[in-house]
Amino acid sequence: MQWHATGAVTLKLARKADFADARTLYSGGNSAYFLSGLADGTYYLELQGSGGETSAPLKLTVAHQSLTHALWLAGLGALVFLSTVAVIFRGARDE
Amino acid sequence: MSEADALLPPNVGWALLAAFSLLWIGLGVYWGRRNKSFEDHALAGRNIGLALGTATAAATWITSNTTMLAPQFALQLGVWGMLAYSTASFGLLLFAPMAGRIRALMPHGYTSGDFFRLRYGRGAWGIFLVFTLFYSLTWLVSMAMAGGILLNALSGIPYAWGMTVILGVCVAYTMRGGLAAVIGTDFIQSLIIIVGIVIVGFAVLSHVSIAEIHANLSAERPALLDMLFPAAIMAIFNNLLFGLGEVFHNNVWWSRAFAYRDGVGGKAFALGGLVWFPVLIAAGFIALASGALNVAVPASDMVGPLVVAQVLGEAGAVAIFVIVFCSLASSIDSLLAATSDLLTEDIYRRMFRPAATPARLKSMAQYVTLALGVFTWAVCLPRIGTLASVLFFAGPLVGAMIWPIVTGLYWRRANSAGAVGGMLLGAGAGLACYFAIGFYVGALVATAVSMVWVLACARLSKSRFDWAKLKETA
Repeated sequence: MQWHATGAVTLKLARKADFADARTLYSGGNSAYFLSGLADGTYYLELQGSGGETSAPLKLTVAHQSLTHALWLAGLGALVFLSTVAVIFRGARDE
Repeated sequence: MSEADALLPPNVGWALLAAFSLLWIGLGVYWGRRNKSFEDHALAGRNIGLALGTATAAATWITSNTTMLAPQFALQLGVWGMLAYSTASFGLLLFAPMAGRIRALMPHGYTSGDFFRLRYGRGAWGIFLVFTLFYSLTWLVSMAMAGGILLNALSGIPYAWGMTVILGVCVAYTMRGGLAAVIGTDFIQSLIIIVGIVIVGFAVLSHVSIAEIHANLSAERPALLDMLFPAAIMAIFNNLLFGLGEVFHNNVWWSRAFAYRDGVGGKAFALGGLVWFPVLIAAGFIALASGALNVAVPASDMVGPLVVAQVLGEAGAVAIFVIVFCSLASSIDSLLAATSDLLTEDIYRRMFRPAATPARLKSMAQYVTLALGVFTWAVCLPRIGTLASVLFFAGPLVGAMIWPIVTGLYWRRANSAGAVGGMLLGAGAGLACYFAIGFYVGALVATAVSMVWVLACARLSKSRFDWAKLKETA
């Protein structure tokens, strides 16, 4: 998240559009915040200035990659890695 | 980042920079005084022992990416991301048996390019040179850029000045002292890095408990604790194979295999890998603690320095400044030395001046080091690109070289068609997936496609390679 503001701001995150369940992510004079690790779902972000003025809410949708897809790729990776290890430790048998 | 936001005053940053610059250059001049020939300069007389060998393997692999990107991985991909990054130590662990084999097969070898030329011929050698130079220059540029960015963030030193000083210092002592200076400074740098990271790890744990970190992550970043986090699962083997490809092909590691005393290579690489593994866990753990410590992170690659400064104050900022400087120098010097040796041996000598004297080759390697430094400086000055994305673009290229190298070292039936096809098809498929899916699958797909092609060609091959061809003398 990046923003332009003069003075300190408060960044809030909520699951509900009316910010009834909002929690503060950051308060201070920075102009960016790194957000990660959210579960799947819809979130709303809002920036509040020190004078009480607020930004228009930002809607954020989190949708992680397919787990099935990830497991297939991990399986392929394990196969390739173990095959590489086998070639190295088996050594030069046909020398 | 402005001076006001920096963790240290600029004058403290400049004082630290000046002190360590003088130390590294002085040591480089001292260790380089005995270098007379190209073999002394490029391979430290082929006489590196176990302690220096272990330290240089670990220190070279501890880069700006270790201290900055490992925490970034943990913050983006969670516990699996932290483990995924630490799997890069397998590159060193698996290169250990290969180093002994390389030394036995090529007692007079200088570079990984020598292996490709003698084992697979000029076609495969040309592709290898393109791939490895792309990777090496990308790595070099990304680290020099990281140097400027980090020194700016840590102490407010302007980006262009920080980048110029780090690069200039490494060029100076590598030109003067060659591999002996690189390995000697790596020894000191590795001690500083490891002691620094251990102190930082304990300091973080003294400020916040594991239970508090877990509670904070569960509430605010639950996906980071999720054992079924899809992107993190994809990243595990991709990162592992990327690390294998980086180590297996690059002359940074081959030059060390040639430079170590007989019987030292295997032990040195294995110990280097074991030393490296926990460093990554500690670096990642620092990032996961950021939420519990209430550290606001404006950019993911700054999480490490910010947490350390929060926990240890100005002393922590000084420590992270020194650790960052050491980790950058220990990798930039190695890359400068190994890439200049590759260009001198594989291009200058093998393509243009086969009869060049050892003294002439040594001077040429020094000029090439200087030219590489100037080139890197010119590319870095405009400050384009980001730390992670630039380097990950090379993942498919290095992944595609794993199987041609491994089978070329152990199987007589591995052949040129397999090596050329494996590198081209693997890199092509990997790059396509890199752009279609993401950075976390490029190396994996490239290695898999290359493996299938190399295995098919070896299976159908009737030729049997004569290992004696690798024993070429200068």
